[in-house]
Amino acid sequence: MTVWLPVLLPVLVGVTTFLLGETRERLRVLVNLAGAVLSSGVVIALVVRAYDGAVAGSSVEMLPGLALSLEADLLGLLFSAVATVLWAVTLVYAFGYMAHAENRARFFGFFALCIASANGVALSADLLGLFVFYELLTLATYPLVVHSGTDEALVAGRRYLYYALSGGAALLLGVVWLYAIAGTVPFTPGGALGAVAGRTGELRAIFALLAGGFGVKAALVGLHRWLPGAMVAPAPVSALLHAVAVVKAGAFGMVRLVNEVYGPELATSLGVAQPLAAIAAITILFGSIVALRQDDIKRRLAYSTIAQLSYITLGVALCSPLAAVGAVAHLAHHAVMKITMFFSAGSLAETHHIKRLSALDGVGHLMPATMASFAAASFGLAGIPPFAGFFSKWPLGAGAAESGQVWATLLFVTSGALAVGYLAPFLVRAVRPAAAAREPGAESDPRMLWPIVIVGALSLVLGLLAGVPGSPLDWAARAVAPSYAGWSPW
Amino acid sequence: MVDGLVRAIGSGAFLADDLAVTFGVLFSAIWGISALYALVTVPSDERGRLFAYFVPAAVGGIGVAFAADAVSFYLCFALMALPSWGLVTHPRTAEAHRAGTAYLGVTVLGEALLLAALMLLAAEAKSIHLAELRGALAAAEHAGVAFALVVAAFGLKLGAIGASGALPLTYGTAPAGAASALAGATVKVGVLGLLRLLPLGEVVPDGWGAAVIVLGLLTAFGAAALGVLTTTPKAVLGYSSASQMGLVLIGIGAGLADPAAGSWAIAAAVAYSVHHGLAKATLFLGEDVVRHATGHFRRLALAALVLPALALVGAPLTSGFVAKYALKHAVHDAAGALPHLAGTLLSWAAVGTALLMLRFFVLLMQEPVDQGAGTVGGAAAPRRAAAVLWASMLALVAGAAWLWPAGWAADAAHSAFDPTSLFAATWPGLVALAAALLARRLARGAVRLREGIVPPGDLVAGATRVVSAWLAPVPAPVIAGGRTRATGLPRMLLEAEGFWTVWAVAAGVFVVVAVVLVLVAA
Repeated sequence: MTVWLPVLLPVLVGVTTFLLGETRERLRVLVNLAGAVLSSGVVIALVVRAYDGAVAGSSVEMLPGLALSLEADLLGLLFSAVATVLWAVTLVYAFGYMAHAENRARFFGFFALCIASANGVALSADLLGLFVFYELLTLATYPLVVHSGTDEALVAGRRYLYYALSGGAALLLGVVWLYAIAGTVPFTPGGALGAVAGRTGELRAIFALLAGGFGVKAALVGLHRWLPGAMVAPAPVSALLHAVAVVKAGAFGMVRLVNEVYGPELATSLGVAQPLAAIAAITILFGSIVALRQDDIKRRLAYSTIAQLSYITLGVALCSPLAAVGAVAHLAHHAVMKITMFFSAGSLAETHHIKRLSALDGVGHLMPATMASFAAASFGLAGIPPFAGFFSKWPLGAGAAESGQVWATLLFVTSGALAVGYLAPFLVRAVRPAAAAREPGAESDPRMLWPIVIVGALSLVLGLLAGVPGSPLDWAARAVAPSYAGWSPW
Repeated sequence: MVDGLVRAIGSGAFLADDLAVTFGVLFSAIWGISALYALVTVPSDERGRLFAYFVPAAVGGIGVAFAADAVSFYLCFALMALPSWGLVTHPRTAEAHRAGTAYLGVTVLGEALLLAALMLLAAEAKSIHLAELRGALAAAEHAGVAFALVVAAFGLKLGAIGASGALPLTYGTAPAGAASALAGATVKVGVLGLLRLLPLGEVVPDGWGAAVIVLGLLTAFGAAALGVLTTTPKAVLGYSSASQMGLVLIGIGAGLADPAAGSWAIAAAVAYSVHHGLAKATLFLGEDVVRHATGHFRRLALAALVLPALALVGAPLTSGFVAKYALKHAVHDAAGALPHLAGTLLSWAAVGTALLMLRFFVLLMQEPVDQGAGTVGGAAAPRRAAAVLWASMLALVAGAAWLWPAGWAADAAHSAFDPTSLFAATWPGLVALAAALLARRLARGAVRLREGIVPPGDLVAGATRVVSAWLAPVPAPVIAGGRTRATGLPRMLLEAEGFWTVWAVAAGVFVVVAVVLVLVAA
């Protein structure tokens, strides 16, 4: 039953938060933090067990013949750990950021429900469960995106719903179709469709539907437009969207789809992995190039997310074990780096009303700790060692080379150079003298500052410790290895 | 299959082989003296800002010599190259900012190419150790691609033709203490990288050697031509660096063209790195000393600067003579027409170098005395300290030819007394001097007309202008209605997917789903 706790605890927190109402703030803070810490503890306990080889599983029958099954395998736990641990950090930040906002009970309640859904996506043992939680995640996120209630937010929220629900519909269609021909398909490393591999036409169509469904949240080009729009949401929500849960759910779905539903071999022989890789490659270039010219900080970061997410999609679509390791590690690394950036962007906007790149001059003297953390995350995202991003980019590029797909290696390094192109201006402007004299040392509220420093430091620490068992890289290697029979990272 | 790459990248390895020690000592000396020079010449209120970048760059710049695997090498390379941006932009002028942008662009491009090369080779070698990467290069599945990536990555660092402009641009704005480190040490990392990754002395595919030799010749002569036409002493020195690195490329090319020439090629590359690193760092510090000196001391300093200049030209009994000795052996040992052609052209390259040095002195003597900036509180003491540091660099340049650790260096020194090689080492300088005097006498107007037609940075500066203009953030996207004011391809992509936001699509999809569900159920 432990495997249900990462889902149920946040639900409990969410419901309690709603019941406590707007006014009992201390209790709300206490319940949320306790819930987040407890959930993180549970996830970590599950991880320790999974590292020892024991996979906890549990199934509940919803309807006759339709069971909702959870399983705490290493791949799912990686996403679950990212969502849960970063939830705790984001809560602290949000307490500071939302200190004067309205409807905080609604905000924190739905936030907890988002985490519950993300954990459901992570730990579902088959496509059906994953689909259910994926849809719940959409619904739980909507109130957060439109939280401010402005016209702009409502437009963005509506667009988010159109995209996410269309994606969900495609996903549902794919899931039902797959169930119709292959029955319940539990996630199986290496693929679960061996018995029906002959029905190539149908399998191709189903893959397109499923990849299209996941592609909305994973922001593949053409399906990405909701993401830059959703930047109107408060910064903690941006963190949730870009780092903690939402887009990662799409990318995570891609990993499950390629590695554990179809399996790399079938995906290659059906010829469905290559087009997915091509779309992901185009997305990487598109996101990186569009990001280069954005003045709005959050918009620039949003296009960066679009590019970086497709590292994950491309990594699994290359069907090379090493690249898949990089992809899964990037799930965690990107989360840590991008959350630092959105937290910093939120601090700049809240504390100094700076929302544009062109207004950043001299901000490094104003907020040294914030901008240092931002720099650490930037170096990571650009793939510079010893920051975390390097340790996902290296296996991605080397894996692509290993499988003879040199074009993808060149694409990854190109994208790294473009990342410097769209991130360096932040740092260059931050250290440039300001046009008007600014008072030094005006950092944000400590509740916002410390989470930034912590996740910024993680961008470095996860890289420094990449060789240690239990690091995202090592974890990803263990999680991916079973999908590639005969391949072992040690 | 056990894939060790995941485990391997978690740790970086360092080693201290001959190459590492030689480059390590060289880099330490140059970074160390440069740091002290910067410390005594940069105003105290700017020191913190400079050294925030200087220290990491120095750590990376020295550490890279000892890096034994791809991760540690790339790490040190990045640690050296990226903070160096802060050295280039130190003066905070618009010019320095532009130079910094150009530097960053070239650096990032080089790092991307290097990373791709390392990834390709690591995937091939199933290891990240540089020795094994080198071993895997020639026989790799994508050997040609990997080779091109290696040469391009380090070629950018060396200022190979096309990227030569990056060097004068970079050195032009950095404070003297930083410029000497950049010119003396960081450029040589390109040589180190080539030696670490190219299998000199082994059989490699046809054409590799020829390609590098041609690149070297173009760089040696092209950068010299560009340098003669520039108008500041530092820019001349920058182009001279690129030109000298062209000679190194010729030697390495000879080593690739014929395995028999491999060991001489390595010796030549190392010798040139040491010799040019010391001489060029001394020239940069000397340029600064001269600019801040007056009267008798200024004349003395100018006279002393002749030593590193002569070394660069390869005059007998200088370190340049020793380095050229090794280079000549490398091109003579390599069989084939191209290495021999390169061998005959070497002396003409020395003519180019001599012209550059003459141009440097002419420009330097025209420089006005800079009395204000750089002295603390108007006291003379810091400048005296700077002069002492510079003198120690001069001593290193003078001693380099005699303290050379390699066994063949003694032969090289002896050959200086041999009339043939004495003549070979001297005539290029004399020809250059004669040409310069003739030009001054006969074609003064023509020279005046052409000087300055090459702006410092040539292609690199131009490319940076174009790219920077394009990168200027798109002003204020109009948020209302979610329309973004984008142009070109981004606009097309943005608008093509606008249809997704129509309710009808979502509703339609749901209808289809419902129908399918009914069909499946039935």
